[in-house]
Amino acid sequence: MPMNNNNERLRLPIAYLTSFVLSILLTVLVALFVFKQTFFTQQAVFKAFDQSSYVNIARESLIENSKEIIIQYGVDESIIDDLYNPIQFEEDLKGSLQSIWTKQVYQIDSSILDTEIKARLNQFLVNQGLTITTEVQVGIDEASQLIIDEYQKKSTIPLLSAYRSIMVTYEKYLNYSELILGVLLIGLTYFLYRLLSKSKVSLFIGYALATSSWLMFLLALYFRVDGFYTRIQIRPEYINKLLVILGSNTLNLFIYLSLGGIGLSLFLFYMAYHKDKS
Amino acid sequence: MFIKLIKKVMVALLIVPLLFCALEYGFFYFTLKPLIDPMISMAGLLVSDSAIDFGDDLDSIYVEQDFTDRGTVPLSEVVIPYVGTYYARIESPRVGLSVRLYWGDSLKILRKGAGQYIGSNLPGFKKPLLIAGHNITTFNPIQNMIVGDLITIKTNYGQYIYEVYEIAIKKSMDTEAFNLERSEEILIMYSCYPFHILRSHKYDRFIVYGRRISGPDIK
Repeated sequence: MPMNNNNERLRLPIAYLTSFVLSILLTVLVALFVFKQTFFTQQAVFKAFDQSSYVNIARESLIENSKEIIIQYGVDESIIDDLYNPIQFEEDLKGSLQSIWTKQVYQIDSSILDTEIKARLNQFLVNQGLTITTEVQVGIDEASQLIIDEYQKKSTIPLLSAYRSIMVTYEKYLNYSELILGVLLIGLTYFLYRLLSKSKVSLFIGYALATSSWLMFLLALYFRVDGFYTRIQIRPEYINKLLVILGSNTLNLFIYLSLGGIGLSLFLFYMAYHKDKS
Repeated sequence: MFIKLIKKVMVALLIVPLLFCALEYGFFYFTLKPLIDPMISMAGLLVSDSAIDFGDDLDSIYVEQDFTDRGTVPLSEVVIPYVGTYYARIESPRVGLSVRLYWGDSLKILRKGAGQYIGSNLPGFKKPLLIAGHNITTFNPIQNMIVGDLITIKTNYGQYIYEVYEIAIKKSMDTEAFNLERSEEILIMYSCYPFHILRSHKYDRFIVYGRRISGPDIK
């Protein structure tokens, strides 16, 4: 491309500006990608679900709450021991979680539990030498219903519908954003190719990549060290732990990607200077 | 030559990108400020200075010790417990009652032992004490109590003995049964009634009333 002196002088500031804009677009694109990967993919959420020991904590909480309920009915809390099948509970929890992506309501079958709790309550009363009057039968039905309600509550992931609606909105927004950002990134990179020599292009793309990487690395590192996500005041415990793990995985991915970006920009700089020299 | 190249690369990696970085932080801060500020405020509601405590272990200040009757105890020796603190033991050997006494009577506390209503008084203040326990566990033995039985409350500052003078079954809403306005040290221990029958709602309370017969006054 024929260039006069004025044009030559203009090239460098334009290249810097383009590189600056390129780094902003790259940062936004990577941030959207990271949030999508860590918060909205089935694999990532299930991984965090396992890492947070969600099933065990929720099961302990279920047992504790059930004991609280049953004790109000004058029944010994030992009746709750081994009442819940851990495998079934895990299956129900995972089924409930999976419904975010399948978009179908997961039905919890509590008929076996209903039979079991009623049998245990009847046995308890027989052992106490008591007659099952109509009034006592009402108590049995009511207590077992409360236990089943507690089971269904605990085996359904809280805030599920809110999460699903956020995910749907985010995905829609992300699809458009990715498209727009992708087109802009390609356009600006092509512009740099037309503006500069090959070695200089590597240099300015390197600047954009390094800027974006440093930006994410420093920010993620700050949040990781500050650990604000570990102090989040949300109950119950299993949801809190799940959120902490999700937050931690998100920051980790930011850090890994930014380190990769720094490495790649190092390579681009090396290439740029090496070509210049040769 | 190679060292020079590395130096150049390192400079390129740090100077321009970090300068851009600072500009971008500023750019993001000023352009997204209207969005970031409410987000920071919202985060302030959800994030505190320390991690949330999920532990259910209740505090304890009670230490087992022998007391000689001192007559009075200075107020300065009495540690007022926080809610959920195990601060005394309540015993009545004839019926096999020996349980922890906590300050407060939430469901969590009642699963651990007997719980004292925090609107009532600590032993030694010459005012009524209101103590609850579950009918199937903690306070199950009180169904066998009779008038004249002795109930001991052991605290860190003294040992108090109460003599049962009345046992009654009353409605849970009967405020007179739980009258805390009296100006004598009455121990009111209660549990759901009946003791072993599974009922949907237990509206009756089994109440044991005791009068203090020994133990130091708080001055």
